[in-house]
Amino acid sequence: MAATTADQIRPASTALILAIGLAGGIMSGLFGVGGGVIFVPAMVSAFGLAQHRAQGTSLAIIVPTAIVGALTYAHTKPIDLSLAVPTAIGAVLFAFVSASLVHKVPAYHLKILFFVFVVISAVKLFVG
Amino acid sequence: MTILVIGALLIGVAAGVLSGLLGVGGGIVIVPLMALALGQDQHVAQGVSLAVIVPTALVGAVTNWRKGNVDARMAVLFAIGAVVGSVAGATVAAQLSGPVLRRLFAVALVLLGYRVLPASLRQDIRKRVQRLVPVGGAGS
Repeated sequence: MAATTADQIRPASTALILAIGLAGGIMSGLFGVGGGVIFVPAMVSAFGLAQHRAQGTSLAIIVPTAIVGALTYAHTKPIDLSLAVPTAIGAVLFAFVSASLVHKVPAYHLKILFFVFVVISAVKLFVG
Repeated sequence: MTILVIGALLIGVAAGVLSGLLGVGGGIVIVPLMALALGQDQHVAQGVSLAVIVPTALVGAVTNWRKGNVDARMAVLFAIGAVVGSVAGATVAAQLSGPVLRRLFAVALVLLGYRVLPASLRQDIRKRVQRLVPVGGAGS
């Protein structure tokens, strides 16, 4: 039976948080992603944070994680700023635009469409 | 050169729009598009992705902080583990060849993308899979 205090913040074990952080960090560094896919569900289901708080906290975790990850990549080969700067400009500007559209778009079908894009990309990447 | 810059800008736009609409991170959009649409090798795509995530996550973190949506204690503890993990993950990535890293990423991409699917649909898929492949104790 599920606990009745599911929506309250549970006493979070420090060791468990560090371990989940480590797992998310490894994924972030290994694959060049943020790691929110690990942090957000962990904070919601294991530590009882509300979804929006988990997302905000996840972004705060991702900042130092991605800085260190990017620096580690740069250690082998400098980051191509002629790619990174325009990408970052587009991403930051349009994150604001899309945040205001979020209630006007049918997310359900968009998510399925996105998954199709992901699978096709994965096959292309795998086959090379 | 110029075409690459325009392509990068468009990838950023796609990442920004999708992160806002679907709640996905930038990396799941940026890495495959850098690799497939702009022909960058896997290490370059992933390094650029991390560099782009820094300012985008920073803007998001500051916005959420102002709204009181950041649990500082949780963030610090997670970040300690994550920073160590990030160095480890990036160091392992540097040891792998481009083609190996790309295939590993391709597998991770499907798993990451699956998480983006609507929860109701994921539940439905899980039920169907369990019906096809009866897992011990999962039968109803």
